[in-house]
Amino acid sequence: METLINLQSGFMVALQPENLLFCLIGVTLGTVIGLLPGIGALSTISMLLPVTFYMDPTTAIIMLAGVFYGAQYGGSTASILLNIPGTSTNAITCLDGHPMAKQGRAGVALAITTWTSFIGGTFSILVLVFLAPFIARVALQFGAAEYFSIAVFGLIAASTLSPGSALKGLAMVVLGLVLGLVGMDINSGVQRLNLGMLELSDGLNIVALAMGLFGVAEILVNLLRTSATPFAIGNVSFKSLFPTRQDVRDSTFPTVRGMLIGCLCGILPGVGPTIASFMAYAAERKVSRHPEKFGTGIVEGIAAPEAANNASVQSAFIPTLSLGIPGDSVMAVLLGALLIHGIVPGPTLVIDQPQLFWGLIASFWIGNLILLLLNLPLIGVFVQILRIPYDALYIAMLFFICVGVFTIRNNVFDIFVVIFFGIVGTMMILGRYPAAPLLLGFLLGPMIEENMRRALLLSRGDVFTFVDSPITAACMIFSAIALIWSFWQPVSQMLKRRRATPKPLGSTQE
Amino acid sequence: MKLRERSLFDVGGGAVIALCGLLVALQSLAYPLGQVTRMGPGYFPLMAGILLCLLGTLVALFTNEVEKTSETTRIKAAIAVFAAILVWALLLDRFGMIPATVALVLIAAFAHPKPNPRRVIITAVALPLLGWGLFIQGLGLPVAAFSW
Repeated sequence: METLINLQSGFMVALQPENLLFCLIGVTLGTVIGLLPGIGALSTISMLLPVTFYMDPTTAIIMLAGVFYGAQYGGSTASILLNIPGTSTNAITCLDGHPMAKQGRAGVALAITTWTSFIGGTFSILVLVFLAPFIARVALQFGAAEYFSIAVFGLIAASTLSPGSALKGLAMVVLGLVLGLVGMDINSGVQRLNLGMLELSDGLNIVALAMGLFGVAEILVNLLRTSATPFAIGNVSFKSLFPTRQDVRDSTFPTVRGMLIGCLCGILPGVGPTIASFMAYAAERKVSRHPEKFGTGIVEGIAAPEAANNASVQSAFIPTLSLGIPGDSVMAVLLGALLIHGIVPGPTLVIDQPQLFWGLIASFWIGNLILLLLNLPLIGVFVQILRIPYDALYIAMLFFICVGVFTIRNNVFDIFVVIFFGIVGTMMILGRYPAAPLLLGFLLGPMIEENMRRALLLSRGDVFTFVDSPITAACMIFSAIALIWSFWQPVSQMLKRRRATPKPLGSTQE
Repeated sequence: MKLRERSLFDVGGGAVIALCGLLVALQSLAYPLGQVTRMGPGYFPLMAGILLCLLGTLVALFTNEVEKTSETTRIKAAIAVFAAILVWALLLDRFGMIPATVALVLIAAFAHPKPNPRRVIITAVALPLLGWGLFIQGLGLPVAAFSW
């Protein structure tokens, strides 16, 4: 009952003309940048951050979040029509979506992905409504030791569960922690690691860091890989959007399974929408009676991953809003946006800022509804956006990055920070060092240090304070499991390879 | 695993990370360390620096992820992108936003494998005007459009 009253007041907030307008702007922009290969939600949100300084925090977050989940809708359109994922989260949709387009069923594929996206998103919003306030209520009793262990677990999970080398992920987390130390120590007032630069005494700016690591680096890597040929796309008529009854029947259960997988993946730190969609596709193939048909253009192959990635982007808000611990880089930037507005995310957010918390949740559902309208009747209009040539686009993006970073403090110093981290970020992409753990480490670093100091002060230096309550013990055990598992895998693979290819006797090494 | 079979990104990247960790650890010795019960500002950075140094060494020794592909690293694109941003930052205070943005467009255009002269010129005219209208007129950014 209480939830219903809260939700009702949330809808009152979300339906205010200003919030509704910026929700519309956010999801429309999200659809557009989701459609365009080469621009992700993260760089768009970082570019928009400075604009939100002038806004009410609730309105700002509603718009920024809209970009994030809107991009999931747009991304599948590019996957289906071009065989190029609009964002990395839609990569798997290419496998069956593009063959469908080749068979002349592009309209059906677009309609099904939009509907399953909506269903997946709605399901996770419902889970969010009931789970987040519950977690927040439990978390209110947490002390410094609990916060420390949850944040450490979040970082370890984010670096070991994400694809690629776990060692590199962990190294990036710690690099992020170190970057988070730059500036004044809040306890003693001592300036740390500022390289003698006065501009760094407030610490590195999260906008400048994110724009360098994600914005500039992404643009540059796209330029390095572009083939410089414009896309050829056909038109999608409204009439072609209606799936047959058989299509609907075939996609029902994949959608349900996809949304369950996606919702779970979104809650776990480090397992974002990309992994969710891959897992959903793999699961679908496993339970299917005709796994050989996957990849030929069947609806099961697009329904499950699209339900999963939309479910996971919505459920990713659960740990972010209830604990203040983001699970991926987009959530980290959104959390940074809240901090810029002076709102400290965490369990108190639900109680202290009910209009923000419930208004945001209500706006998710309104946003998803708007996306349904945008992506079904208006799909033909959006498809035309794919005709924008990338050479005009990337220059405009560079300009927006420059202006955006300048507006943070009306100072060009932060632009030099962007250039520095742009170079670092490009190297990281080419060398496959994941950037998301770095950003998470940067954001959570100060909180981890603060809580570690406080916990050890309270326990009089007894390190067992980090394992002696159920929450801390569980976090430490899960962290240990994640670490051991991720290090055991490469070792066991190496052993297997060594066993498979025994060294020939007497062979001389080069 | 032979050293020369592995990519510079794995070996060198790990080495750079380890070096960063070492420098952070050394620098943090300059701050008061304190004790475990009452940590000074140097305690956490020292631990983070040592951990980073350790992880960087492990990355340098054990990762073997990046194949030595022949990915044509077009250094020209990288230079153009970073030079465009740098020039914008340097010209902004001295000459104003419109000249800085024109310069940004003209330099950044070279990052594309096949710059299209017509579209570049359109962008060089339209983007500064858009920026002026949106940011200086619209949002009241305290920057001059032109200044000499």
